[in-house]
This record gives sequence, C-alpha cells and structure tokens, in this order.
Amino acid sequence: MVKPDLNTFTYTPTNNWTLFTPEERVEKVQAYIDKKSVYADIKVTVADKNGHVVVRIDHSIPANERGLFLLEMEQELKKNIDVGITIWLEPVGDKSKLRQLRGVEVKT
Amino acid sequence: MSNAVQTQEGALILDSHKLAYHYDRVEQWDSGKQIAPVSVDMALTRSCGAMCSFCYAMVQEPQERVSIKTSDALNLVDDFAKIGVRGVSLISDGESTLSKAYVPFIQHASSAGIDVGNATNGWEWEEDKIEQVLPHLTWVRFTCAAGTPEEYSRIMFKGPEHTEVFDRAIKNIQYAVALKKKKNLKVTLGIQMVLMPEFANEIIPFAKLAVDLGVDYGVIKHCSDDEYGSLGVAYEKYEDMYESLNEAEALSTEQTKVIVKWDKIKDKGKPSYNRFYGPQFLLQISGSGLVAPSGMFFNARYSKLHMGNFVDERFSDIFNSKRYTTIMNYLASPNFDAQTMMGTLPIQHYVSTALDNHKKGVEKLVPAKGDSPLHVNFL
Repeated sequence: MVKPDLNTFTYTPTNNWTLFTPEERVEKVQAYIDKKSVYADIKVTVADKNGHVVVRIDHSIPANERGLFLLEMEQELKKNIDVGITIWLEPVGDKSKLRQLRGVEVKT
Repeated sequence: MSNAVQTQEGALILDSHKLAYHYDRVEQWDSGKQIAPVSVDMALTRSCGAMCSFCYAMVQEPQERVSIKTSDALNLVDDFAKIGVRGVSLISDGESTLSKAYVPFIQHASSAGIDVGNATNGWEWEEDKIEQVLPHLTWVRFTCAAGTPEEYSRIMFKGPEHTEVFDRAIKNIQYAVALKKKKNLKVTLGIQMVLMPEFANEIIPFAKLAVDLGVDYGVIKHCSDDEYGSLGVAYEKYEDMYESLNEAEALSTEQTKVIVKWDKIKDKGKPSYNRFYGPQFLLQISGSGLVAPSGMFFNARYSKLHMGNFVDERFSDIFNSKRYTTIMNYLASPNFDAQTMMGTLPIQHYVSTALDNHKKGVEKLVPAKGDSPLHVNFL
C-alpha cells in the first residue's frame, strides 16, 4: 500500500458518513456525546457531509482548557464515528457597535 | 533577495518572507524541535474607532474580551525577550494606539532589544504620542483605504461627509514624516491600502497620496476573508485591476516606493499549502489577550485552537505548555487543511508557503548571504 504524502493528505469522511442524511449525522454524533458525562451541555447543531461538525456549548470553558478539551473530543469522534470529522463551535459575531453598522454577519 | 524593493534606506521586502535570515530557527524546526516565534503580531486592545468595510476583525470575535493592563503588556514583553522573540508588530485585531499600555509597551520592548512595528489608522496618534514612540519603532504603517478624503471616510468611517478623520490622519502622518527627518530617525513610514475590487478607482489616488506625503512606501494588498466568505471579497475580480496596479507602481519616486503585494493578490485566496507551519515562526495574539496560532482562529468558532490568555497566565507558561505544542502539531498534521479550514491569505501566508515548499522539496530554504533587509525581524 502506498503511504499517503503527509504534506498534502488530509483525512476526509468515509462513504458511510457521506451517505447518511444531515439529520442522521447529527443524531449519530449527539448520541455518542450524550453517553459521556464530560460532554454534558454540548449540543450538535450541524454535521456536514464534508465532516465539519458544529457544536454549541452552553457553559464557558477557560481559554487555557478549551483547546485541548475540544481536540480530545474530536479525536474520540474520529476514532469512534468517522475519521473525517472535524469540530467547530458556533461563531461569535463582532461585538463592535460601530462596525455592526456595516451589517456584516459571520457566516457558517 | 526575493521581491525586495530598493529604498533610500535599504532593501524592503513586503511581498515575500525573511526566513533565510533566521535559518537557526528553520534548522531547529526542521529537526522537529519546538521553536520560539521569530515574530509575534498582536494588539493591545480589540477596540477601534474606525469601521473599515474590509476589516477582518469583524470575523475575529472570541468568547471574551479581556482588558489588557499595562502590567500584563510589560510582562508579555519580558516573556518574549526570555523566549527569544525578535520582532513584535502591533497590528492584529485592534487599534493599539487606544490602549494605555501602548507607549510603555513600545518603550519596554525597545529597551529589551525587541524590534517593534505598528499599523494604525493614525487618528489617535497625536504629536505627544508620536514623539514618545517614534524613536523606538522600526516601522509604522498607516491604514489608508483610499486616496481621496470622501472615499477614505466612506470606507473607513460613517460616510463621505466625515472627512475629519482623513484630515486628522494626514496631519499626524505629516508630523511623523517631519519628525523622522528632523531627528534622522531610522523608522520606516508607509501607508497601506487594503484593496477590494470596489475600491479600484482609488488605486491611483492612493499612490499619488503616498508620494505627496513623502512616506517611504505605499503598499497595496489583497483583502482577507474567512472560509465562508463573510466579507464578500470577490477574488476573481482582482485581475481586472492589474493594469491600474502596474500604473500605481510606476508612480514610485526615489523617496516613495509604491509596492503591490502581487504574490498574495495573484493567489486569489487559494493557498498552495495544506499544512499550516507558519504560526510556529509568526504567532498571533488578539487584543482580547487570547493566544491562538493565527488571527484566522481568534473567533470562538476555532476554540479547539485556542491556547490560553496572557492576561490570565504568563505567556511563557502558555508557550511551554502541552497545549501550545499539541495545537501547533495539529495544524501541521493531516487533521488540518489550510485550504478548507481557515480564511484566506493570513499574515503567515508567505512564511507558510516557503516552509511548505521546503518540506515538499520544491524549494529548499538556505541561509541568507549578504546584508539583512530592512525589518529583518518581521517575517
């Protein structure tokens, strides 16, 4: 078997993942998360065909903890559901009242 | 020296990188060791009195906005010096001139042997402040969205009738140009236009303004956007402006060079690299205190790439933590794809392209020969 070129190869979702409907993907990830108490308060809002999974966390996690916490969760989901999963949080919009006048919205 | 422009004060590289002058760090990185960033780009606040329509800060909101005290900023300088950071630019996601820490930070960094550069709109950068910081700065770059007062005010403020912001900026730039000459300061002064296709008519007025002001350069660069196109930058329309951009460069004089960042503009928002090595050499810190590998990741969306906040803990502790290495390694792994998982044309673009080409064997980095260019500690 030819080894992938690590300079260019990126994990992508398997066929299994892409064949599920968006709702089935959300359910699958949410069901896994709900089994773990450490992931309480995490709600899956989007699970795209391309592996991008968006979650909402209702409590704040300190800046020095959130990175590793989410990367570890992502590794678990990759291992147990699909290797192409990548985790993102819901974006926060610009809090500058002046710039808000421009009407730019952070897209998802 | 790639893409260097000869100025009266030396070779100026704006459309490339300077990794060859920091080959010690390249070698360390190549052997798999953790390296101190050569440069850090940061802000002392996320506040800003402008409302530029091209501003990437609109998509960089993190979870929290922490106020950076002067003592936090000075501790940060000490940590930079201890770790081996060589240059700090105050750009990032806020207008640092508004911070109380602005003057002490620059003076302290300068005395610690760290080069400091600053990008500003210049609105709150008045004579007293200029005199306190200019002797300690390596460069100052003024954001200047257009060459005419009305368009400048429309793009950067509330509307074309608010030309008072243009007048204030010009007055302060002129004062800095005069002070530099009077005191024979080494600082480089430039103005920058962040080009969106709808500003095409301002390319030539911008170049003429740079020449009229007598600054050392006027640079025109692309506009970044996030991977979802939140700012609506139409990269396919940049090609229509190539003629005007060439015309603008031709307006260069002996005193003032007009420079177009062609490499980034021609990339049209799509990098050649998948792995993102650049942040290991050029780290970014938000004006909220958040430390993340790149400004591309400041928004709460990218929380998995947040390393800590230097207001809550010392930067040296963040740098020496497992978080720091895990996150940097993640960006350099097949788990991350710079082409699909982040915005376009980050500040680390040139460095990332060069490091990626080095890893792939497309073009190996080699140690620099000859004199260093200007601003060598700003990659």
